[in-house]
Amino acid sequence: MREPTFRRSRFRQQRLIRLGIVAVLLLGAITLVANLVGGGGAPGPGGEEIAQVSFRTKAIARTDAGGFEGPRTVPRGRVAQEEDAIREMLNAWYQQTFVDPAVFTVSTSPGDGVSFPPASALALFTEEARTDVVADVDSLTLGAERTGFARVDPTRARATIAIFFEGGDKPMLATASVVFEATASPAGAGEYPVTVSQHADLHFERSGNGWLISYYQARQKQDSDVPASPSGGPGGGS
Amino acid sequence: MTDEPRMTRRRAVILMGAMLGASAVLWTAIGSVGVATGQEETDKPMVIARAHAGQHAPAFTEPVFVLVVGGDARTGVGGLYDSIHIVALDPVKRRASIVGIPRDSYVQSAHGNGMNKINSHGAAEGLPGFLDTVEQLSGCEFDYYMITSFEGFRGPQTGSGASFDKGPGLIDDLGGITIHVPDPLPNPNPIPLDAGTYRVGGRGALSYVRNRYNRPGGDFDRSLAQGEFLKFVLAEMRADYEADPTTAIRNIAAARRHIRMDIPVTEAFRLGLVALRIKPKNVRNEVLDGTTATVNGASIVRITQGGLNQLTDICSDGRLGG
Repeated sequence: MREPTFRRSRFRQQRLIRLGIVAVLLLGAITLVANLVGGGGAPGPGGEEIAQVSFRTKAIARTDAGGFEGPRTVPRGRVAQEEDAIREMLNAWYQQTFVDPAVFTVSTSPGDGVSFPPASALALFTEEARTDVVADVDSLTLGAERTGFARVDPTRARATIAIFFEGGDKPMLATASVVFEATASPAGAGEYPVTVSQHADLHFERSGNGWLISYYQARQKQDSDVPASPSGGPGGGS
Repeated sequence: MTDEPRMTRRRAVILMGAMLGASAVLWTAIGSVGVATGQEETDKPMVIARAHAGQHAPAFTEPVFVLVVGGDARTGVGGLYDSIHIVALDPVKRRASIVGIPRDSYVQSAHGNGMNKINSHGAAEGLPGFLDTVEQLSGCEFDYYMITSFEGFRGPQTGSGASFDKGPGLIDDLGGITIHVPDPLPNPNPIPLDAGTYRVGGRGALSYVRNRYNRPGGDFDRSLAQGEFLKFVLAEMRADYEADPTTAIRNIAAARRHIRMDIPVTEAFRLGLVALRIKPKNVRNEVLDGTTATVNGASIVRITQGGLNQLTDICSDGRLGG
């Protein structure tokens, strides 16, 4: 008579373990997906969660070491270290200039002491590049329409980074080919969300133990996600 | 026709002004280059340096002038300067101009060597001195100079009299260059080229820039072709860059393996990016106007007033054609 009891208890245990594994896997998957799309936000000033940019990167190392015989391999850990540093810069720039409403909704006017991009974001660029960055604000940041948005949720943040190591171990230059996409929700009621799509090539130079962006080129598109009208279409009447 | 195995289509960025994408050419050294013989001591077949031992990089907010020289040394750099080009890059207007100076141009030395062919001045003065002579002739104030030898194109030779098939040189390292050859170049130095458009490696590129036989204008046409080669390189680099911007890093790495840079690599990279922003169609390429003559039994080129006007043109604002 004991045997059935033992079997039942063991069966329950196994079921609990399976459930636990499934729960852990689900939680992991949810976290992963949230990270992939830049989710996992922090609370904003009004208590609303702010989306977080989290770039996925791939790094390639290049070196001049090796003369005519070809390049020498750069240690993997060395590459990863610089990749992490550049990824952090990308996260910081896009968080401040595209995603954080506390930054992008602040209106600026001459003489008010407020600037966009903020000084902390401009500090990611070389001094020579900063004037250009301000002039190119429409391609490099959420742009002139930014104050009309209430929130921005990243949907894609990817970068391929190539790093040049002088002599095989001294990081000197890097280029990041960046794709950033997001959905921007307008502040006004009844307005349709806007799809933001930006491609940027950012060139980095070594500065001390870190990096600064010295050159860039960027292009950006913002399309309103207006649903197709049932009676619409080319030449459709009113 | 393909003279070498086809390579993957990628390549590089930075060969400064001259290689403006192309691989080729700047030379001498920020002061450390030997002067008297025109033969430089270097472990690399190309050199780029700031002119006049410049202490500061140009701001790249106004035209940048580069003297690009090709020497006939088979190894190392130097020899007779048979290829002489003034390259002006305008970073703001994103255009460039190239003027070829015929090697037989009969000009005054800036170092008291009297009148002679310009390439003879080069051999006597070495590159820093030669730079002065070209500045005196043209009125340009150079920011950089760059030199290449045959080895810069086709890679190192092994042993005396070795054939030109040892490599790779920079052009092969970059994956080759697509060139257009309007007329056949039958001279086998190092290989003959048929008319047509195709990819070449270092040897094919060297044939294209060296050959003057079968070119109707002889040395004038060869100089023009050398300027065209710089445009081919630029086109190649731009195509790579537009397809994948990270090729800029691969190409600067390749350039560093073959070019002795007497400037910081960051400066070379910026110069390369300036060049990459210029569309080949916005590059004007000319050769100085001149007439052939004979002096003491030697064939020379007398630069005409038209030629002098071309120099004034490019050196005033970096732009040919007003």
